[in-house]
Amino acid sequence: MIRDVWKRQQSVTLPSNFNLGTMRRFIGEAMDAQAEQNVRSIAFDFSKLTFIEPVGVVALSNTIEHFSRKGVKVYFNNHGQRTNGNKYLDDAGFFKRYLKKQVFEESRPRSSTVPLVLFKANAYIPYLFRELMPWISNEVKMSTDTLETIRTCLEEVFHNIEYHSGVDTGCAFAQFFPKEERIRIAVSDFGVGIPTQVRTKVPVLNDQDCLRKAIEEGFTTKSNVNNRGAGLNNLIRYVTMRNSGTVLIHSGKGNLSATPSATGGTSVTSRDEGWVYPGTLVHVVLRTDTLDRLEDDIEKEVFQW
Amino acid sequence: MVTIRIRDHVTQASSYDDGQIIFGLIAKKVAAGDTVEVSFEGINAVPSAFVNAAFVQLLEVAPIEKVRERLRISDSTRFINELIKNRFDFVSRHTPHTA
Repeated sequence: MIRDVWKRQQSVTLPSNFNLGTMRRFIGEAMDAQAEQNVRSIAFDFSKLTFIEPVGVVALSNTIEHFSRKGVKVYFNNHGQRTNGNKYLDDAGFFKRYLKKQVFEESRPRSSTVPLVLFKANAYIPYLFRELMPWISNEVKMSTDTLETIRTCLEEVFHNIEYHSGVDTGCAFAQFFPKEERIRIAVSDFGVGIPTQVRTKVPVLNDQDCLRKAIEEGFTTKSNVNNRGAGLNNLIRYVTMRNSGTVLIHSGKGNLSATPSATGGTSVTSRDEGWVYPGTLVHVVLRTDTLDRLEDDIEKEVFQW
Repeated sequence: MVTIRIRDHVTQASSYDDGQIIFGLIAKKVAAGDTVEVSFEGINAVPSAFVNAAFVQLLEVAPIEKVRERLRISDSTRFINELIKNRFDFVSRHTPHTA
């Protein structure tokens, strides 16, 4: 359980707008602040937070879990200030998760989000089948049967955690942005990270090249008997080519972005950052204005080799 | 010919373990030269882990040509068909052929 009492320790302020772009500074500062003096406690200051994207919610949760595993106590400061960011986190179930109680009496889950969830890697089914997919179905007014292809793509993310992360816990958060016609789903684990896994097979690669290697069809670290190297490739191909959505992966210092290419394929860019993401974060952005295309994919078809 | 309806054996055709159950039902038959039909009735899509376990793993008990001869897929969707064919095509492209 996280303490909500201020004590003397290293403090890191959450950015005003906590998104993919600002997450790096926050995580970098938090890691540096803890590591420089090897402090056993650290405080997160919520006073400036006005907006946080789903990927920020998951990254924040991931960072807390990372410190908890290292025995570092995490304290929250100024989370009771009634900012839009703190209210959003309270509605998302974030404070209830970590403080065991919500901060604002009137906070309630928003219909446009699925509350933050921490799940056992080998027990993601109830979340995916009974929470996330019914929620997507309701938001986009399509049946869960029609959305089965999307569900299986998301299963590839959960399988990646279950089979490769080396830990048994992950977290997820999702939000629908109707004006943008996008659903953003962020899933993270607190494990060893993709680069560490890939380097057991190809030791010379840097982190960004490890991510590129990990999404190659057929590349497998054989970290688990269940592993034949198709999951991430399958996820990226389907989301970018059929839904015209995007997939972003952060792991270690590596950062990989897969987007639809102008020719109907997939464009992949990658780079190494100056900070380390502890574990792996997969951010799937689905377009809701192209979901009707997916109905073709569940049409019955005679199988021929 | 034996027909195996996936839904009769697994609640969700989702994980590698689910696929392993189907593999267990068909592997010996395929290895023995029997034809097996696997029905996807009631299932629109499956992830790659399921296909790897249930079908790609058959290449450990029979050559790819024999698997193609003996394994029939029915009641499947375009998504399922493409995934199965892609996985087998990939494996056949990357497996050394023997004389």
